[in-house]
Amino acid sequence: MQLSARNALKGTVVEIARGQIVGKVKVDVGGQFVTSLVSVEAIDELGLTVGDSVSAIIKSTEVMLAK
Amino acid sequence: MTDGKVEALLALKREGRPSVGRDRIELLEAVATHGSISKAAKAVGLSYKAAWDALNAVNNLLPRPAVTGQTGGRQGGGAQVTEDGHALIASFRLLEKRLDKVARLLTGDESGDGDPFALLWSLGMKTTARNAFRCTVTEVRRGGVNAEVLMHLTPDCQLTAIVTGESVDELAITPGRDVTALIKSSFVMLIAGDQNPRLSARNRIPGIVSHRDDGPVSAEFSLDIGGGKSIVAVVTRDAAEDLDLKVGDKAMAFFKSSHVILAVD
Repeated sequence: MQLSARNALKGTVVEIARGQIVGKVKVDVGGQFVTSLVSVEAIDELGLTVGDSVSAIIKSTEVMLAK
Repeated sequence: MTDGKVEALLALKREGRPSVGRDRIELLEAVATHGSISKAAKAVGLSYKAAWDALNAVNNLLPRPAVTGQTGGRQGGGAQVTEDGHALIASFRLLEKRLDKVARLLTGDESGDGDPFALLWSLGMKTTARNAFRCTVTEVRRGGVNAEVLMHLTPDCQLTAIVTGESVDELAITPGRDVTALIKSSFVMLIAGDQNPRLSARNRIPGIVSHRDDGPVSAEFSLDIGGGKSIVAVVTRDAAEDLDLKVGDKAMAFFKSSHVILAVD
């Protein structure tokens, strides 16, 4: 799978909190955490559970910087 | 409004669909006359790309395309104005003629200082979002804060938007309603080929690359997604090189449902 998104951070799902429409998926990426809000439909479709290996994909235009 | 006077500008609406302005009608007429987008663009004083984008926007907002055969690239195959396109031109010109008479009666000498119609100028909204799709809502799912709105872009293609429940109430978004889905081109990602990826993104639209414009940092792609519609994606130049996407290649555009903005008339 080759995507145009420049950033794909490999990690492990450590937490899933389901809402009614949107769910929160917390991913451990080498000791740092990336939080993703995706639809619960997507969580179900991907069959995401804690411990799964996933990639957190972030389009470069979406990354903010702080100094 | 070059002279600052009131001029009857016709916003053509059919069943509440958004307006098509005179500039786009003139472009359509030029395509009908010249049978090619590049010649039509030259005739109305637009760049090829601006003309191409404008015609794609018209096609995206109509139930059936007004122009066909525009995917031949920069050298262009021929382009034809469809029956729907000709009908659009004819009705626009007829109404415009009548409206002009009425406008002259209405405005009289009021168009000088202290223009009483000044407020009207701000009503016609244009947006910078490159992707504006006319869709029909099929389902609305409510959550605590958010709501998921499912829409048909074409009979084969579904779009999903996640917006707040408050917006759904305020805009009275219900199944059967026509809405315009706006997606900034920088929100759209691309994948090469036509394999459906295992991604959380709800919106995936397969298509054929019809245009690629490279800048030093970014690259702009248009995908022909069928039904005379197209989608624009802006990705990094690096990504464009890695994916090695060329005109004619299969690709899939995908974007998160939270990146879709909905507008109603």
